[in-house]
Amino acid sequence: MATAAAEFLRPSLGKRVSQKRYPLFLVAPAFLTLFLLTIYPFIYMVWISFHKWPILPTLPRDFVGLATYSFIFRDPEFWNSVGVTATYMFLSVGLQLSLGFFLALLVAAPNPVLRWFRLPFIIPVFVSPVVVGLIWKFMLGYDLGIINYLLRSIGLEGVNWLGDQTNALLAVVLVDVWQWTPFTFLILHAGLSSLPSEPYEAAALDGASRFQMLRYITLPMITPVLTVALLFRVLDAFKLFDVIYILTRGGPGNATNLLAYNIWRKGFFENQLGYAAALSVIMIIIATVLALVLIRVMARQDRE
Amino acid sequence: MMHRQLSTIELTIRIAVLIVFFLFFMFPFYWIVATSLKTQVDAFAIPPKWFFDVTFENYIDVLSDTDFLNQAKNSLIASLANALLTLALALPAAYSMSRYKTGGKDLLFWFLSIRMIPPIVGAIPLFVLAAQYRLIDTYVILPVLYIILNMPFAVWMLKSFIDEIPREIDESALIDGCTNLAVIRRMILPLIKPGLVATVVFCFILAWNEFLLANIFTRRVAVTLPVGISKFITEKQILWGYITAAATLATLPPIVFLWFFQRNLIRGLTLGAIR
Amino acid sequence: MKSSMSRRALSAWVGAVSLTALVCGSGQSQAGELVEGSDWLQRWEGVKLTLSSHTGPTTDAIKELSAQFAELTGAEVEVIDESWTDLLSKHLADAAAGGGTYDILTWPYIWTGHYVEGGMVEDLNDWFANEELADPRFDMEDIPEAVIEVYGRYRGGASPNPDGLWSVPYKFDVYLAQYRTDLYEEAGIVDAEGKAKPPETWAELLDNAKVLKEKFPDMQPVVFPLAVDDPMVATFLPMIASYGGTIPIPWYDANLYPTFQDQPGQDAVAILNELKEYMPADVLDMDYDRVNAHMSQGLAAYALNWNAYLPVLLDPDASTISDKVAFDGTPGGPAGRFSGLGGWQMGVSAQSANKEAAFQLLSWLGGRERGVDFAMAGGSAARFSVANDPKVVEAFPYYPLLMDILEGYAARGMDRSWAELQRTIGVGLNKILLGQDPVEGLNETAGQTFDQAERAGYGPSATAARP
Repeated sequence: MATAAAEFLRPSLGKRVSQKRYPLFLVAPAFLTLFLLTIYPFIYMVWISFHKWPILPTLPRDFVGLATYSFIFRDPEFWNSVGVTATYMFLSVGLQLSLGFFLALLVAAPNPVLRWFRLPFIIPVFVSPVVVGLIWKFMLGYDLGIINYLLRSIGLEGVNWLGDQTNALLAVVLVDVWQWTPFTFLILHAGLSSLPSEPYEAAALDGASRFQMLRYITLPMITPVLTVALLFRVLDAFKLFDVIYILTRGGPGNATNLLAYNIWRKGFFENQLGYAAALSVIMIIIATVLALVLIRVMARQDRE
Repeated sequence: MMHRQLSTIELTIRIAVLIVFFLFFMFPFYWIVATSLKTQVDAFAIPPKWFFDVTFENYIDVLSDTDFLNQAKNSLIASLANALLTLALALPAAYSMSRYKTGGKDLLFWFLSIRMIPPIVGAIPLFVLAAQYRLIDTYVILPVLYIILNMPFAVWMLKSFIDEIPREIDESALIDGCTNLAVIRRMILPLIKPGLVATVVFCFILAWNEFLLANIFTRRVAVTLPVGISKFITEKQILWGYITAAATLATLPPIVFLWFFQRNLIRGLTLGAIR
Repeated sequence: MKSSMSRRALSAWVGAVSLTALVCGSGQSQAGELVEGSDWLQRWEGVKLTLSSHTGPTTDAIKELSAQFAELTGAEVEVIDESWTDLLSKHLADAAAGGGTYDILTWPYIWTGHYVEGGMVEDLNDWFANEELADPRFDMEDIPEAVIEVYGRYRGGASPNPDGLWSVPYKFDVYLAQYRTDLYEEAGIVDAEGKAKPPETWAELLDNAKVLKEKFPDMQPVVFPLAVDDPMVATFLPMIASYGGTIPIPWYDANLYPTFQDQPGQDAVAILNELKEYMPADVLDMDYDRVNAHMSQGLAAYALNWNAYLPVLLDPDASTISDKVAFDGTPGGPAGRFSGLGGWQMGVSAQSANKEAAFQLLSWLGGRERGVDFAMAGGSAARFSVANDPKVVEAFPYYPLLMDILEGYAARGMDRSWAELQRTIGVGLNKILLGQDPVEGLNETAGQTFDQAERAGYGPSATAARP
């Protein structure tokens, strides 16, 4: 018995069978843990979404089938939430990538001074979103906030950041861009650094202008990296919660009622667990579609 | 990328622009720290006081009058426990997927796809289950839940680091008669030490900063720092002095880690992006 | 922050009590005012009681009173304060898991439906009738009947007992007005004796605002909490009531059919829209804290807020206007002048393992004889004896105003779906203030609340069709 076990644990080149099974054992703990933490709750959640589910067992839990889903699709609050989330994602991720790329280009030269800028920029990523939300809430106050003070001191008018529908969403975008541009900057900086120099040298010999080099060499070569950054940021932006909780609580009105916040509110503040569960299912489906689309784009680029 | 020499003008312009952005990214930090050193009245003053009487009262109050130290302890426990737990699970998996291509692309993709899940989505059924099994507000629940957040990243990072080590090292050890586990322990681990550290620190920081799950799954015993800081928004008034002091203290560990491990953290961050 | 003077006084009080208890050995009532009224307390050695509360001044006062209780009875009392927004889900989660963590629960009256329909709290009628445990001088009559009605009873839909007493007042919150005496006097808004005259109606406030704006162009004369959800609805409450909304709950009828979109609501929205012109630009982001900060920094001439926030305005360390502020009730309208009620109540958890001790703690905290000390420590007590006590009135001049609710009060809903409805109404009102057509907006919001009430099972269609 001991020898059998020892043989199993000791893959020698001849024993192909145990060679095949042992790696599975290595992966198993991680896989099983995640499975228990995700798949099983997911199924439970779908089950909850078919019910009215007050958390107290003393209250009735009625099966309602798809009624909650049809209510959601008729609920203007839901569509507003989707719209607001989409707008924010588009603006925020777009800005982050552009700004990050721009900054990466700026430091892409063998100058020690320029390279120094690398580290300070990264700090916002490592700060808790709660803290980020709190600082910006403080700074964006109309009368008492420092941002408006600075704006006014250079002759501009103070902006009604948090009391106006459009501005509040822009404020959320601003905060997100502030926190995550460093991330895209780093990825793109690493990407730019790893680009080969031959194409550039060849193009320089051909007399290409800087702009042409950027457009025809840099951009195509950096696109895979850009796409990965896009994938990560899109999925992360989709989840945004902490900043909303601290900065706007979904308001004014429902101008910043992003999906994740809406779910939290429905589930944990208004105690409509069935509704929140249904929203969650919908949210996962959207996230999956987004990811699949982006991955397909990435795969296509790999082939090129 | 081609490196040319920059003209002085261009260099100056670039630096100027970078300084502007530097201020954009760094100013809020100056502002929290400065506010934390001001009195309540000064903190609200408009025009803002650039020169003010420095007071450490907020820090003293936070450390003595509030639950800050307890929350810091809880954050430490949750983050450390989770980082180590995640590492223990992710390392063998990463090794297996790197050397034996276990599960192929599908398994790798499945791990990465976990990252797509918005935490709030998992929170609801997990909340119901945790309530049933009386796991809410225990020291166990957060380290376990944070696996969902950190595992994809840990597996991915570790796999990349392991990929870099030539297989010959494994194979020679295997031929010499080592078991797989011994190979991991004796050959791989030392070689990917920087990667291990980066992974642990990364997981730690993510757990340290996490708010949503901590808010839902703790009540008073296991409350972590982000939750504690958000609670300073009391009914009395927003205690900006407290909040900024607590926030400054709470942000110190990640920044310290960043300072010491920057190269590897950045490398870990950007590893998967570059093929 | 509460005044350091009363804090020291109370600490001395507690110290004296402890010393006396120690000296006398058993906490029995002795000569002298200090331990008067504690003879009904039993010893609860080794018992641990947990009270769940939210951060704020009342909790600090509760902690001081609880410490006295602990001294006198030998029990161990822990007061947990957390951010109030998540309190409900935490209480529910605890109850769902079998309970037992909390012995005394506190909650704002808008959540009462959850607690009563869910069977989470004890019916206190029986407990107060128990002569062995009850405080003989608790004095329920010292509490206005209106307050008991809102903070103690639940007559709604699925109430197990409409006459049940499920809780007693814990933190009495009334919406009050605060105004700057100096600015009013300078602008000439004075009464016959030349003292600042606060507005009696919303229309009058509007006139005041115009005058103030002219006189002080750099300042916005008025500020209300209008942030979406709780503040928006709380501010709107006394307004719609004063224009004819049904009292005490102007939001819907017995079937939860919305009524806020009718004429009273429209009138109230109209005047609010006009008043908004005189408020800060980001007023829709302002919750109670921010309004209070705004006022305490001297940036407004007139504000509305819960009385719990007002001690800050009077504290010279935290406020620049501590000597220039006065208080009044919320303005009225054609249908009268009403006080908007907020506030919290406390009950004994049905799952507590120490109900007897918990009940005694509850009686200790809410009883008449601790009322003045409670108020002086920063708490908000709903008792005539407290509101008329000279010490209290001197420290907190707005206290007598709290009793104005006798003339008429308005409240928010208490049923289980109120949180959702309140959110919808708050969003709807916000949008109207941001420019949506009022009648259209109100009807649209009414339709949404109709749907929500329908889904929650309350049957609004029994009244009429969807608005």
